[in-house]
Amino acid sequence: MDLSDAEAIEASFADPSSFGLIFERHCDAVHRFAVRRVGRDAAGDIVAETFVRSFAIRARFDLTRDTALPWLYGIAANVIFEHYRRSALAARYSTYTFRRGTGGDPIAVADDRLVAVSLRDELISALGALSVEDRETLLLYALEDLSYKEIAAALGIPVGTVGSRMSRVRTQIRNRIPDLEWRVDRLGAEERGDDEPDA
Amino acid sequence: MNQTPDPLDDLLRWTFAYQEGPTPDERDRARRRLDAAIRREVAANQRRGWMTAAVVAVVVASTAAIWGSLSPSPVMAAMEEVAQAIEAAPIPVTGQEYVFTDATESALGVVPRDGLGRIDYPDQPLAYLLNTRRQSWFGTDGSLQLRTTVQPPEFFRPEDEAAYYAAGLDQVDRVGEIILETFPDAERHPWPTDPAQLDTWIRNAAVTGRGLDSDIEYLEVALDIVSESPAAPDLRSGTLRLIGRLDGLEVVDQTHGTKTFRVQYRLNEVHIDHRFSINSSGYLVAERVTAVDGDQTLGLPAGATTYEMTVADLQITDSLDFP
Repeated sequence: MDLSDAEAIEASFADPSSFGLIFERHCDAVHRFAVRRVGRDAAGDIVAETFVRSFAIRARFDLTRDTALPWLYGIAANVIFEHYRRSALAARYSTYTFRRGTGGDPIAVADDRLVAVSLRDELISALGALSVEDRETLLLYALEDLSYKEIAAALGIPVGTVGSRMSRVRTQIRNRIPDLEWRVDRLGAEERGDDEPDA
Repeated sequence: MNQTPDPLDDLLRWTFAYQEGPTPDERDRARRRLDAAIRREVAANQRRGWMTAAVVAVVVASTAAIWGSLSPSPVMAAMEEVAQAIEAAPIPVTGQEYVFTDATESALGVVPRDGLGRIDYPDQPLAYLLNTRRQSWFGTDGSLQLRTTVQPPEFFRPEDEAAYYAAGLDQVDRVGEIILETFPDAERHPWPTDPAQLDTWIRNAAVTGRGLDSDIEYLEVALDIVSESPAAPDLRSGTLRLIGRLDGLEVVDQTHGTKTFRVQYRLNEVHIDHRFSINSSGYLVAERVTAVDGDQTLGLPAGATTYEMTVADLQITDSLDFP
């Protein structure tokens, strides 16, 4: 019988190896989460640290929750935050991995193949202008498919704050990217091979 | 809660369409680290089961005798002196208060040629020193407010300054901006204060894949605990004692209540001299890293500073304003 995440974590108090199920189930998702924020080079360590730390503090997991993924994202976000704070110290020399171009950007894996370069650059610039918490809220929703409730649990903030942040963030980005709707629509048409939509 | 579809979400998904998982090797490494943590807990649980109070007493007594018989190194003695001073006079932080720190930092930034875009620049990385002032308010409730002032960078080669601005790196680094960030729940590691556990936690955190000696990685994590930090007295004293055990450190100055240490190592064939100063309260107050022989690839002359930070004495404040 497959254990739920909560059951596996509960079982790990008596048999710590049960926590391995959480790793097997969510390693790929946490890795993608990390790559999107710190790039491939640093993602492996972020993943490892996230699972080691989540194991250490598993007693804090709310056993009434179905999935541990939002909780893991919250821990990963903290690990990444520390990574950047530390990298501000550690960047003193080996910054090849922390600066842009080799996977050091918070937004490190924009896909040139699918998005017109100018729009991609505008989006990255707009994201870069957001506060860390606003950006994380948006990315958890759009990229990790978390609900507002799950984002609230991951970031330790009220659900209402998630809603207000999302509204504010979307407005800020639209202010920085003119004609976003039309251009996204056109990109979608290109993806589907449609004729260009009316402007 | 209304969660309606939004074209912006589609754009984000297209832009960050990365869907690959970790490589087998990355996955295996992460799993091995988790398995090691699991094994440590299993072993600790077993030990707790086996040991009687008498056995524990014998072990503690024996350990104390062994440590007592060893002559401490000058670094251990210096760290021990600070550790004892911290424990004797802890700085009280109670209620809804904030630990305020104010740091000035100059850190090397390196951008590979392919990160510069289509500008006229040789096939070489661009290096510069980015200067920032970072003011932090650590709340007793786990919150953190960061105010970062990004100042104009300094360059090692005349051509680098023009290239930096032509490539728009000033916008990436947000030069000239004052960045205010708040983190409602920025509680850092729940660091243990038991020396053996703290040692294990630091060792686990000291993995960055930068190809540094593990003791150097360890030192950086340990210094981070006592730098711009609300770390409690027992955590600071425990951390300093662990730093004191690291190989390769030497005391270079201990006048005026502040002790300065040095370690030298090689990174990517570059000879590094790393000095840091701990004040009598056990906080990191200064740090300086130099490339002893320079680095031709980056245009660094011999003795170039690649990192420098000074931190003013921390203050306790009851608001998020400047103390």
